[in-house]
Amino acid sequence: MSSAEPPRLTTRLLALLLPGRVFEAVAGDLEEEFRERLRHTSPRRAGAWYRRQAIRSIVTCWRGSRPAVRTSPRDRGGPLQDLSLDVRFALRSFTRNPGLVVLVTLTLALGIGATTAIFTVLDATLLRPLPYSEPERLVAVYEENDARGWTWNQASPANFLSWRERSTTLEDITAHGFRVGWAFAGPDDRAEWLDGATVFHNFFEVMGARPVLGRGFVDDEVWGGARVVVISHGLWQRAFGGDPEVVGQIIALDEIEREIVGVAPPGFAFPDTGIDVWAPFRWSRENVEAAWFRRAHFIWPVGRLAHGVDESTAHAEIQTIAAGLQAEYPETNESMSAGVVSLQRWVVGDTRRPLLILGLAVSAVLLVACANIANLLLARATGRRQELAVRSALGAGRARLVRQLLTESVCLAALGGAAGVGVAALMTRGLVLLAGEAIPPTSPVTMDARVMGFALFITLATGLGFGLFPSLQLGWARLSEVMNESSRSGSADPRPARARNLLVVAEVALAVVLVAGAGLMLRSLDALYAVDPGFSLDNLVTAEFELPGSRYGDQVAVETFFDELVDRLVATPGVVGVSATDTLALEGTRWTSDLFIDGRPPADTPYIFNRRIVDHRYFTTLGVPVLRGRSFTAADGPDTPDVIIINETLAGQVFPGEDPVGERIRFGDDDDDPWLTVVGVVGSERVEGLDANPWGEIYLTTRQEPIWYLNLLVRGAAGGQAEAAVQRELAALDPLVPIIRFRPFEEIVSGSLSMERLLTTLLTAFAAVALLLAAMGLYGVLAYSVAQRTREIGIRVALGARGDDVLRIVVKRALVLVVTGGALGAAAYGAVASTFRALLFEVSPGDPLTLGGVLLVMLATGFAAAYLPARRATRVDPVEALRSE
Amino acid sequence: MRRLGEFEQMLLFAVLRLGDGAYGTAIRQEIASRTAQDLSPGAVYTALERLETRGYVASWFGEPTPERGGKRKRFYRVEAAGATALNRAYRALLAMGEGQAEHLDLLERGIE
Repeated sequence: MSSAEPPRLTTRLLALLLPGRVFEAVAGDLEEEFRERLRHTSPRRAGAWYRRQAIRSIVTCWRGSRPAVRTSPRDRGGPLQDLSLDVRFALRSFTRNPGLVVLVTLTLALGIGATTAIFTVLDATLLRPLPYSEPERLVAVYEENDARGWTWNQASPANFLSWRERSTTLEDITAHGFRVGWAFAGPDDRAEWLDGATVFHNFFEVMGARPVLGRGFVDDEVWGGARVVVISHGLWQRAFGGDPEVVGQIIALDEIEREIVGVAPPGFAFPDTGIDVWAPFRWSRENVEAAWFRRAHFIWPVGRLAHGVDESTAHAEIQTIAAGLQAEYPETNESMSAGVVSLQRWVVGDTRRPLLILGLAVSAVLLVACANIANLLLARATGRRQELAVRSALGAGRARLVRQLLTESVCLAALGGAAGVGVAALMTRGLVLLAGEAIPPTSPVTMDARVMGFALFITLATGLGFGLFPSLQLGWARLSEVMNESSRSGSADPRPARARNLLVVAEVALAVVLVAGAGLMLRSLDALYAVDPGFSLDNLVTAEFELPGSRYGDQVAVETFFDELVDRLVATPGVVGVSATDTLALEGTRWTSDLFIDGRPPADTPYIFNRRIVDHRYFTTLGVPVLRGRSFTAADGPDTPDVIIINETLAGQVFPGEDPVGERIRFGDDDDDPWLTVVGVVGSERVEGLDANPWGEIYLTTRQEPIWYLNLLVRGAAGGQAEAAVQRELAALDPLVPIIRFRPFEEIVSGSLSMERLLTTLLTAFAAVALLLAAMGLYGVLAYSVAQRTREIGIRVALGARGDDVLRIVVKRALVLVVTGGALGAAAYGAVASTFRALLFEVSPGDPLTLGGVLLVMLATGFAAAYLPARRATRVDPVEALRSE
Repeated sequence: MRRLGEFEQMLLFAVLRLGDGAYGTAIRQEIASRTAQDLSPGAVYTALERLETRGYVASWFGEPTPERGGKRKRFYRVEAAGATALNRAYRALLAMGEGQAEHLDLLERGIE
């Protein structure tokens, strides 16, 4: 690492370790000379010099703080001197007990590493402010409709314009549309697909992202003015080589020319990462008064709170405005409410709860790890009572001894923490890979100074936490009496043993909660994978592309192109079927609309369904069964009657108990709204993901409703082959059409389950670690108690107890600990179970199979932990045991 | 009154020589150029701090400058008590060493 600034970490270290007055002077001198050195040596060497001098300064400064003359042992040295003595003593004692140190370090590395890794993700998503100017003032404004079950919904443009006009609590409101994309002929003349967003003209002002070149948009450009775009900093660098003259240049997107009017600031990405182009909405002024402009909900407004206004005030105001709009436009705005939520909450959305659960789960693992270490140290401290008593007799005060013990545990924690940071770095990288789409793309997930601070904090906290228990023992023991204890009676004091039991019970309880949670998630994920999507996923791949409207002006052109492409692909060996749709199954959106049925009175409430356009090969290719009537055919066309196919679910809702084939439906009640004849009923596909029940669907045919944005579905050929074939044939037909995305359908399924998979994998791993630690803790306590009771067991055996009886003593003890912990864990689980409910699919938090499984796992763990100590107990030789006095 | 060590005497002389410009880096460079000893800033300030508590030197902060990352220079000057102590130590050493320089050189080379 080389830079023109002195090494920051070193400077922080200086600030931390030197007294303030000295620090300023030393750091100033070092920085001055560092800069001097930069002139005739490399930054790396200057940095190395800086670091070396800083370390020397710290060392001399510390050593120098020792007074030259020592008067009495009591005030010998300062606190720092004592600390360094304690640390040295602790390190020396570690070398005598390497096994313990390794065990503790590993346990802690795992606990601190996992906690830090999860914190890194939580920090990037939930805690860190969004990377926009004054992000705390940004809010999402959404529409809500209880009657239709809408929450956090998109807004209609007319309502958005009304809010913007009337709101005073929001300084301004802007809006963006769905993510869109354009084909862009890049510098090497190959068509490239650019992700973009359409936005309201004030977008850059409200987001606080002043373009680094040129300008944002102006009012006129939304209302049909010149076609302009703002490009991302990344695209500017990539495609224009950072040309300072880029503003004013014309680029063709989808073969339509647009003028670049600005370049966004570096790193700015909204509403999504990877956006390269922003273009203004293109609305027409006549529309503003049209009913559909208030009825169609397709934009996402984002507002900036006025100075000094909080979220709840703005929320109340928007609700009032929405209520006013209900009264003014009853036809379109019936029961239509609105609200405001911080943009951060909005962006994080549904992932908040699973992420928080992960945070809790990993904290539980850390607690179990701490309890385990406390247990180990407590056992060790019991063995050290004599040593401590002697030191106390030689004049060490109780406070001094406690400090010594705490120093030891903090030193241990520091070892674990250092290893833990390494573990965390690996785990964070793994987590990001594993998470895929599950983590909202707000800020990059990186381990920065904040994360390191967190790791340091939990290291200290755990060190003090598990160090407390051995220290407490000092308070229990009358040390002078300890010295008189004979070694054979060990500790007569039952309190340390009780403390250790308590710790193990706590470990078991936490492990029970984790195991139960992991079990539920596993069952739920299993159920999700077992869901029949309604179509066959086998060897199905999708390729998305869009035909430019400028060259494919009408239906005939699109149809000709597409038929040609299908013919070519079907001729490819291994391809079984090819089809196209505008919307993929599992990625559908809800339409809410009235349905008018010929010859019947209109229904009271609108229907919610998905509307899709598919070609006539769709149902055959996807393996969706035609249950009644017929599929679309190539004979359906613009000149034949308009036909639709509905799915089973919608048929059951609209035509319960009847045959819908032959019925006529239309979406509006005006005379010029066309009637659509139902010609078939098909099986239901999952529309919104595997975990959502299928909704009603209405299928239209591409022969009557042409589409330019295509999801090509290819079945049969192995993945790579299909991709190559599509690439080849598409390029042969029209080289200027880029493929936007190419995905195996399996990937779409697993993508839709990415959060579930992440949660399940991590919870299972955490549960396994907690279980292992609890078993270790249990083993430790049992082994210790067998050792302590060797004499007692010896006497029992001498008096005629058999192996079974001895076994029973140990197993009973294990059972008592496991059952007590299990009961506590069950109670704790009962308290948090409801949190899980929202994340579970077809499994209830009280699932008997899962809970039975947990019981079995815990009992098995108990027996496993009891096995070795029990065997040792049965082998106690009474003669040896009694002689060992 | 404790006697001044060699290091402390060097520091006091450096401060004396530098006059108005006596601050950390200048002091270290002065000592380095005359005695070829590379001292760490920490060592310099710790010793000066100690001298200050004894009233031998006084210090004050200058203005923050950009090349120091906005940190201020800490300047020193020798106080009367410091001058007394240094004078005494230096003169004592001079008195004891008078005429012994050549003898020392020879001894060092093992000639006598």
